[in-house]
Amino acid sequence: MYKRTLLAAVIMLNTLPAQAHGPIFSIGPETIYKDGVETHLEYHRANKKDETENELTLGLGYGITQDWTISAALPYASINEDGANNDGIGSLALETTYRLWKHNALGKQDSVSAIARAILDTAKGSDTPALTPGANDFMFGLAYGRESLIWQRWASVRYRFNGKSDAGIERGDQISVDAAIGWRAEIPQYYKSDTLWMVEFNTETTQRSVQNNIPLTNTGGTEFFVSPGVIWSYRNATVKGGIQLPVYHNLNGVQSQSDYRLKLALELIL
Amino acid sequence: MKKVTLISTLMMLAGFNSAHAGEIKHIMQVHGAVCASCAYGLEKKFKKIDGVKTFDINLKEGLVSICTDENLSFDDEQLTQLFIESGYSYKGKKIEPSCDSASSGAVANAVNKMGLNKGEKVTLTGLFNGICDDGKDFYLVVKSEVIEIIPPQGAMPNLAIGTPLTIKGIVVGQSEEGEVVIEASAIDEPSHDNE
Repeated sequence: MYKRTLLAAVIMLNTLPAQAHGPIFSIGPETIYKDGVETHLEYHRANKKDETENELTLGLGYGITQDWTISAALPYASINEDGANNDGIGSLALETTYRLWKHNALGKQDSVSAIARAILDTAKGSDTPALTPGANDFMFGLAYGRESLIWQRWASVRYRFNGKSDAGIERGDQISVDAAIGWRAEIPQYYKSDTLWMVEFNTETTQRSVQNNIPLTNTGGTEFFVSPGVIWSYRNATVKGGIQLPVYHNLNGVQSQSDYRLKLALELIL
Repeated sequence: MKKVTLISTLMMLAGFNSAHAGEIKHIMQVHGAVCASCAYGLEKKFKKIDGVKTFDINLKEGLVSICTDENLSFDDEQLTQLFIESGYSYKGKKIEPSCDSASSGAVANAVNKMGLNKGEKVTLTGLFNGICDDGKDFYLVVKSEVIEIIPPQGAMPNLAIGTPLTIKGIVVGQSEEGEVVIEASAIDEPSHDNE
């Protein structure tokens, strides 16, 4: 049960709307242009020793202004845990990104954005393994990015407040610190496809969960991932994919470490 | 009969040419556009305007190029707002009287063909392309290549985008963005009458 609770938290962390040309597994400062609409379809797989979760997420974003984007994403999740299966509608995520600062120069742009996300307890049903921990979670983050014609770099920090689960467990909050670099072999041209290669470095530290004021032994800890990925785009269409590979873990008690996480997304700006 | 055919052909050609003569090209300097998918918002906003026929952007040179009906005009305030709403900065514009492909050299694919070496003394003529953000250098476009120019002390040109300019100087290296950087010893403005 505890394992299930934590896995759900990790999976939802990575459902990220409106990130057309930003990092794949973390947050970026990108916003959509004023009155612009972005839609995406995303496949995400997370694998541990005895646990596999697949999610197919449909997302929609809208640029209220050039510096303020709102978006929503709804996943269909399928979970296999110790041989038991469950699938259905997952947790609805609502997100807003506000660009706090921007500096434009010829062939480059620096920006900083604040991001807030609510992951709502919308998944229904009492089957096991559960599709949701049974709580609303909230995430706040700050993202910096410099994009230029050849090199890109991003950095972000996120704090996720995890709610109290249906089982009365106060799930530990999570802090994520991310950095990413991107590179393309040639300067992009408007009417030609553009390929951007990137590597992300993702650190996730989760506090211990607590039940009846007693910290739970087999919860919380730190994982560090190196995540290679690629973004291919042609004008308003983007395909991006990447894999998170764990290279370091320091998990409390006895827990399965992540084997890998995979993400593939198709995004359209309308 | 041959005479009639010749006249018809000439009339058809005249008609063809007059259709193109009814279009003009607006070339605008943009800062902050770094990828095609990012610049798509600009295309959407320009294409919503009646009379805009085509859109292109040269990301390296930061030049947005649109062909429009010849009676369509934009003022700087309109363009500033349009670029802001797309997430970018508008830096100036010029108008070319034709939309022929031959005149779109300024937005053609940019490949570094200059072959300049560090320490080399050069004399180059190109188009003034705006002042760098730090206010110390300026950009010159030579044969579709953007070059960063360090002007002599107190000699920063105060010109419209697209003004022809000749500089003499020495190649001192390459910028972070891969542009050749030249320290100018002299700046000459051969012509001021294209704006």
